[in-house]
Amino acid sequence: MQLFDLKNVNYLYLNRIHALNDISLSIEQGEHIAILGANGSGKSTLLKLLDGLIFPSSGIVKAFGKTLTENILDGEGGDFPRFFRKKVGLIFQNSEAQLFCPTVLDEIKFGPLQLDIAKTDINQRINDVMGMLNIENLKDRAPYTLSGGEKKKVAIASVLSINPDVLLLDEPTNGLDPRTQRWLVELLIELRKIGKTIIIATHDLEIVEEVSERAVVFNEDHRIVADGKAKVILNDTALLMGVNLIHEHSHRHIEKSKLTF
Amino acid sequence: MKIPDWLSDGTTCPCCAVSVGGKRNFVEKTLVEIASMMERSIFSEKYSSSKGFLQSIDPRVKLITILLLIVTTSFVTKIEIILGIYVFTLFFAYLSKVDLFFFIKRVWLFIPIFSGIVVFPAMFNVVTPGEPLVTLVHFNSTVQLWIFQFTEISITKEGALGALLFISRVAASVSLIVLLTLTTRWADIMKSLRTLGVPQIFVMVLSMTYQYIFLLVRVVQEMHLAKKSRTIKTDRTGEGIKKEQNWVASRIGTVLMKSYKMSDEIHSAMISRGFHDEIKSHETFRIRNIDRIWTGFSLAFITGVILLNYPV
Ligand SMILES: Nc1ncnc2c1ncn2[C@@H]1O[C@H](COP(=O)(O)OP(=O)(O)OP(=O)(O)O)[C@@H](O)[C@H]1O
Ligand SMILES: [Mg+2]
Repeated sequence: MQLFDLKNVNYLYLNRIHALNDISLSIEQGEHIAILGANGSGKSTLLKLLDGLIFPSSGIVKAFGKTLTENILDGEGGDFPRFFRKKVGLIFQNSEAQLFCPTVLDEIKFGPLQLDIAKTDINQRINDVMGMLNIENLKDRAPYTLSGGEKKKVAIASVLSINPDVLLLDEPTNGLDPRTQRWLVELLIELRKIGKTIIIATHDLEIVEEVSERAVVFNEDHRIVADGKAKVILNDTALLMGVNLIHEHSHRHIEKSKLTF
Repeated sequence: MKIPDWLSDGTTCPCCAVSVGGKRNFVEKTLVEIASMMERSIFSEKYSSSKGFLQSIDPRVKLITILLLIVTTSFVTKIEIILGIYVFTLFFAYLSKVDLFFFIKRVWLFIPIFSGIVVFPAMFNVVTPGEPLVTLVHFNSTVQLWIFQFTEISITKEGALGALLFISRVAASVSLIVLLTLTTRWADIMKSLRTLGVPQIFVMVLSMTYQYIFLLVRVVQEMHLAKKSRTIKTDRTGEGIKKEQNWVASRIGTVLMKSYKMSDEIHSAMISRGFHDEIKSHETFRIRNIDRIWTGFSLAFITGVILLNYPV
């Protein structure tokens, strides 16, 4: 089943700053996609578009067969907004902005509560998710007093508790310690097995092959220059160098890391 | 890559006469001070999570009784009774395992801000006519100044008493507020407001404002550190301080822009997780016997205070 379908999408911030340039992309259910590109190439913008938080300046974004517009995700959409928010979850690049509740517990509860999930289920989910991320001890802390990595964990927990079918992750490994990074990769692999759709924007090329089989590459012109098998794209040094994602010296690093897998 | 020569020209610093330490400059000190004061007085969970008397009271009950006590205080006209209320707060601070010295200091730190400006002019005969205590200036003829008329400037007995009454009233009220905030987690205060029927949007805004202040202070602090890490000159003369102040003032604009962008992101994050007009939440407060006892006691105390002040 086709989940997302983008046709000739352009996005401009403030009507003048280009962020996405003529993007066409279609995403099937159960796919695991890595979005690659240098800083400022438009990865975060794409994820926000897929999450129905911003809408294209021109072109069409379809999700679950419906064209996403401000109206359909607002009052006029009937049951669609709730359906969509339950189905799709986004972990923001900036976890500071993502956390707005008084305590970590409230934070993790927020999504399920808004989506009218039964109280006993919510408590079950909260406990499971906190256990999984090992953040029970932060339960009563205020999110803004946490460290960067702790914030990230809480942000991840607050989206997992919604149990979305489509997970959009923006630089999820950023700021996590190696052990937690590893844990996250393993979690993504598990989620992959149970059929979740996972779209991840990242610079961390080492995890790409593990968590996704398809890769989409942006150039600095905010266009898609490659879309195909992650394995093939990761070995295409010329391509990755062309979009300024890697440096002529960094390919060794990739190859070396591949040896260890 | 070829790096420019000047970049590799970084021999170890021979200039070890550089002075280390010294006083932190004014701006930095102020920022750090504000942040740590907020941290300790409102954001601190040190006392709210310890096991004292007031901590065990249901936050809703606590909120209502303390608000009632504050209202009562504002009606009291006898200074002895107000002092009684002040002692009452000290006693409960003690029962709630709050460090008394810290508590008193906290309260009296706020008082000048609240009352100083209001009280000062009221001490003088110009504003409060009456029996002079100390005469500062004496004029030969009546002076007419806008709506005021006077022949001398002096501190009057009525004025001084009024000021004293006012200050002690503020001290008692501030003590009550500080007692509430010290012994209750902010999140619980917000939730209680909500269960007491204060509109959702108001509570939401209040709670976000609070987190905002915290974030803003931190952003300013970090920007200041970022700047400091790139400058060496620490001029502590008047000119230097003035420059620092100007810098901070000009940064406020940037901070506001940052916070604007952030509020946009926060809103997106809320929508992404299903927020739609009304925020839903579970409340799990329960009234216990200790709450009933406390309520009874405070109502009795309030009645006592009113009867003492306005005998029938
Ligand atoms: N709120 C905004 N206002 C104006 N311009 C923006 C805004 N957010 C992003 N941009 C611009 O849009 C372009 C794409 O930004 P985006 O955040 O999508 O990049 P990215 O690929 O996620 O980069 P990074 O790897 O650094 O996270 C950039 O040129 C950026 O400067
Ligand atoms: Mg980004």
